[in-house]
Amino acid sequence: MLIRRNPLVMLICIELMLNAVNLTLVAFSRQLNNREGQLFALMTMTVAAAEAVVGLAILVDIFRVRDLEDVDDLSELKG
Amino acid sequence: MIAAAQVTYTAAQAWSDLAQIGPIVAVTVALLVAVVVDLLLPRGLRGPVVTVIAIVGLVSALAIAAYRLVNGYGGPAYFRFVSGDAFALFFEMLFALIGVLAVIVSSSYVRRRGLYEAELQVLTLAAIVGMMSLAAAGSLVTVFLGLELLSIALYVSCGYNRIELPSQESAAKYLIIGGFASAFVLYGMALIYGATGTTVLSDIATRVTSDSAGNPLLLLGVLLMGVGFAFKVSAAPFHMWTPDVYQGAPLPVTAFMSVATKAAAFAMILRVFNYGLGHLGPEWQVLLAFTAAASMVVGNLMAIVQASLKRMLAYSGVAHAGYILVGVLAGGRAGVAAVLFYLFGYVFMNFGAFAVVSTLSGPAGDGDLYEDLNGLAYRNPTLGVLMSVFMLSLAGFPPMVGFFGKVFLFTAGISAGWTWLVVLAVLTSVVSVYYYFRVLFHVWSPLPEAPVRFAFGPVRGPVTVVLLAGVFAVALGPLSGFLLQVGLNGAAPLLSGR
Repeated sequence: MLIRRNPLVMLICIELMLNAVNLTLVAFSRQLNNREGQLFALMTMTVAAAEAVVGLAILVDIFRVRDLEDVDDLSELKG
Repeated sequence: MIAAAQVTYTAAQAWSDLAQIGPIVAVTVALLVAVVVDLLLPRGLRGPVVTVIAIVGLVSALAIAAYRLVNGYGGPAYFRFVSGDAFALFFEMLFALIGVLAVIVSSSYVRRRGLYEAELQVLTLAAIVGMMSLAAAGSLVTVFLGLELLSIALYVSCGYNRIELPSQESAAKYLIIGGFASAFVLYGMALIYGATGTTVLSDIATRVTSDSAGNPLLLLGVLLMGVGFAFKVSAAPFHMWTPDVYQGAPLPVTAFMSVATKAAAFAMILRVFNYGLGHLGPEWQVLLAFTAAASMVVGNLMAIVQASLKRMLAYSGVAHAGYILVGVLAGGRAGVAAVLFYLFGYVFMNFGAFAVVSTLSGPAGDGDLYEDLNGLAYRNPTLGVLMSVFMLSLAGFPPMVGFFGKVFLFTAGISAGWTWLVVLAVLTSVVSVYYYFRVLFHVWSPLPEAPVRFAFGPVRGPVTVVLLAGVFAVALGPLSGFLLQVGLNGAAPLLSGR
């Protein structure tokens, strides 16, 4: 994510990070024979979906006003 | 095969669990009612009615929390995934209070800027539900859900002024960096779950002993969570997003998130680090001590060179996060109580300052330059005097609440052996006097000859809020003994069993 500059790709990278967490949680849940991890993974999936929706909505809103291919174009605010 | 545990859940248990989260339920109900009402009413009525519903919901949450706190009803609920203890009730009252102030300021602001009113209030309510869940969290799952609920609501609020580039940019930056930080926190939680086999904080507290310090899973988990938490409280060196997001977001949103998110994130740090991982103190304290020192230095130095009031207050927020971390590091009864006290006072002085700036905004934009404050004391004496009160309080002058807050934090820090950090904190807060007094200089300067950029519109609501916040900021100084007692009461649940 740190080397990507396209905001859409960055959003996808965040989803990837969350999926990595899900895998970790489910693997631990199996290893520890404990269901809390699976519960946690379900919650994470829901939250990831919500975050993706909001993220896409915000980006669409920006794309409507201007063409944005690079996060460095977001430089209205600097000081 | 995972064995199914036998779980019985009676109606009586359900009612008592629901009562434990009473304040959260009140705000959630107000939120749902507001969404439906917003759909049903004709366009002109929506905004005012939703605002009234929001205020009613928040005030009832405040009343429920106060009632339960006075009667000592708090306890764990929902299989210890949530806790309605005195700590949670303290923060629930705080968030309900901030919520009322924020809703009043937003209502007037959106009208002056020609934005929709109802949706912003609904988003504020959603963020407050998230913050309250965070403060009441008894498990890592609840911590995560509360954190995301508040963050996602705030991403949308930041981009609320949809057609303006700064607002959009603020939302996009907050979203990407906030999502990144959340993923860090979440991975840390997953590792801690892997190391301890539970997500319930009270179980983690008993399973993690000082012998666990050699467990790499646990240490990596603490590190990742610490980084994520530092992002959320906007502590240096993870503060880069703060000034940009604060500057671009609509002013009431900035005011709300600068105080409420900070309080919620500190509630989370206290719950997870001081309570859940208390025995790993030496490990996470190294991390937080570095963050605290960096925040105080970077925040105070960068605040000096800002031209925008919003950015100055953002950096001052970074510095204050550093001061509050001293209390977190000190820990124990005195440290936690000092953090609660400081957060309570900080909320009013910082929100008040932002509320004063919000009165300067008109259809053309926000007046957030120092020059826009010129002659404020003569244009509107109430706002001028109160802005001075807030600045003196933020700088830590007696008899304002900010002074007592710093005294409690720093004495707790010294008695816990963090002398070098306290020395640094005192030195840097001397620096902060400069930029707070620069505001006073502009407020009390003679009226400018050129017409002011922003004339006052109908600002009765914000003025009331500013007055309220001002009364709190001044009165809490002499009443500090009482508030500290409330803080000590709130700190108790985190320390039981130690």
